[in-house]
Amino acid sequence: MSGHIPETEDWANLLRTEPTVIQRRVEFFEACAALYPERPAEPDRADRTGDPRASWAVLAQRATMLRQAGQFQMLVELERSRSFLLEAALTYVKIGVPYGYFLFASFVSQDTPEAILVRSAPWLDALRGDEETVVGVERQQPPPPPPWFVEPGRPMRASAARHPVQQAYLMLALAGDLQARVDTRQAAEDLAPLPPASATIPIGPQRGPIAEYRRFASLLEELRYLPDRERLNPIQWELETLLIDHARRFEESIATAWEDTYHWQALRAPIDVVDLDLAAKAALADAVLGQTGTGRLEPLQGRLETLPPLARMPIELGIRLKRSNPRGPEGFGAGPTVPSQPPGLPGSTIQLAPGTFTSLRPSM
Amino acid sequence: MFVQWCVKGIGGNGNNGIDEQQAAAIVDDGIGMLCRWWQQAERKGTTFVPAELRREIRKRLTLDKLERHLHDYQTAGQESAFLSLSAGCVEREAFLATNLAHPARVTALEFATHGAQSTGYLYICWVVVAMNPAAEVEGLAEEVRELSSYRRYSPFHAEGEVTAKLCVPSNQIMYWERWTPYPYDPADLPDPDALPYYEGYNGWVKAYGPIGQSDWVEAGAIPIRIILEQARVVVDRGTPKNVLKRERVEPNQRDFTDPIRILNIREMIDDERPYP
Repeated sequence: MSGHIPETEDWANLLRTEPTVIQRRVEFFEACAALYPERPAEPDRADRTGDPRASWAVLAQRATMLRQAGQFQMLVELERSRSFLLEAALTYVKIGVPYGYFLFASFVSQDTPEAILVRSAPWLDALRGDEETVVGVERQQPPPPPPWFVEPGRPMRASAARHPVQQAYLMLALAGDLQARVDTRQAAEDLAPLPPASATIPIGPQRGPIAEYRRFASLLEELRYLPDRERLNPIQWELETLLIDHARRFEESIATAWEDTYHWQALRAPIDVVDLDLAAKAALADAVLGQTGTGRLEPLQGRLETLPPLARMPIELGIRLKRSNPRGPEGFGAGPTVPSQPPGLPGSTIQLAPGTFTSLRPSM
Repeated sequence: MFVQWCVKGIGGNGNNGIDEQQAAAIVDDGIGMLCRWWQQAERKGTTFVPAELRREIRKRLTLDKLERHLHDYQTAGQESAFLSLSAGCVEREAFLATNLAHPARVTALEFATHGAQSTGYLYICWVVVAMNPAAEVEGLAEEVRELSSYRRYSPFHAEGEVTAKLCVPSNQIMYWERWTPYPYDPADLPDPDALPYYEGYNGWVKAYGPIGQSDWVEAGAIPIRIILEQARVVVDRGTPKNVLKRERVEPNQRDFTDPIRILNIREMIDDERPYP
């Protein structure tokens, strides 16, 4: 990326806070992620309450904490932030939430072992309405073995991908995931059309209209498959316009949070201090523009430069995170920093010598 | 109206807060958790004449004062008759709409431990909440939404804050917990090869499953990862990290009133449920 590279203190200054405060937030959310260790749902708990939600809720909480840690870590150090976000993405995917794929496509991507798992998630089956193959409910024929992340009794799954908000994220992920080996155009057609009355459903940290996210996705889609040079500039113009609108809303949310000095002094205001959606959209747009061979998205040039530095911050961070991605096949093993079980490898277990340690798995 | 399970975080000694004795006294001496206004009065030794107290309470329980408690705590907090509790929000719809789960305990821990920096205390309690706003009604807690200024919450769900009024009596507190953050370096963990404790574990374990499979085990309170590598188990120490440990759990053995006897229950949404 051209231009100067801001240091942590710069971001902290922009946000009117201190680097140590940011670091503490990372530490806190990291500690909280460890409170919700990834492990099989405890059957007795689910049974006792009769509430199947308990099994996914732990993962939902874990994903949230990792996402938060990654968000704050972005202001401090990009590489560690990526491992938080990767871990968060995989946890979201594990409960069938397309937002995980969106995070993955935006900040990790590449052909990592995790990528195979994320992309093999039957998002599209879920959208086509073939719920039985996903959920594995009773039917005449024995169902095919369920995908790795689908465990009996987990309620999210198929329906999660049909949530209008999650569909918008799925569209963005499919459009921007350059390494995906599916026909994303076909996939986009499988997505349910948005009823006109739903166009204003709020989405993202800024609660903007959902139609904006879907428009962004279809622009990326067009950019990817339409080699018509004439359309290139108008598309880039519109992508930038959408990013600028989003960035201004982000800046506004920070300014609102500053008013609440009591919470802001410890960065406890319930807003996204780095709008991950904005960062991700910028990263995806940058990658897709790069693929067209006509240039990249330059946050410090052209129209994006006219944005105030604070509004531009997530865009810059997102693009820097995307471009600095060293994770190729050789990146395997640069694992997450928070206790977790790697996804995949269904049905495998390790049996420990009894009494040596307390296994975190209740059934062992 | 319904009963809402909540959790309240109170900072410990390291955080200008209460010490262990005071933490226990909240339940054991029947004091309960007081609003900041009463805490201050207690500290100053102020006494109230009943009629005067009633008048003061009427003045302080208003929607306007509640707004100030929520959004201007720095100036209004010391005299506030409200106290913030956390009930969490991990509803499926809200999660899909926002990608964020709000566990009650995390919110409480954040305030109690000063963001995992010092010891803090958590009180698991219940309050009665009404379906509609009732800031001026003393007996009810308020389910608070902050949609006007904070937009990332689902518009259909409370973000998790429940605001009690004046105090939460001790008989509504089921138990309390002490939490302490431990920043630890995995290098400080004992060497698995050097200690007999680890014998029969490192390399000796009966193991099934594909190579590369891993599992988490607990050494003391610290989770470490073990990986199955060719018919042998190795230890992955991970990177330095912070953990929050629950060091003490004290049930209210004095005067707890089980709300299940009184009303229908709406559970606090969190990993841990109050009912065992």
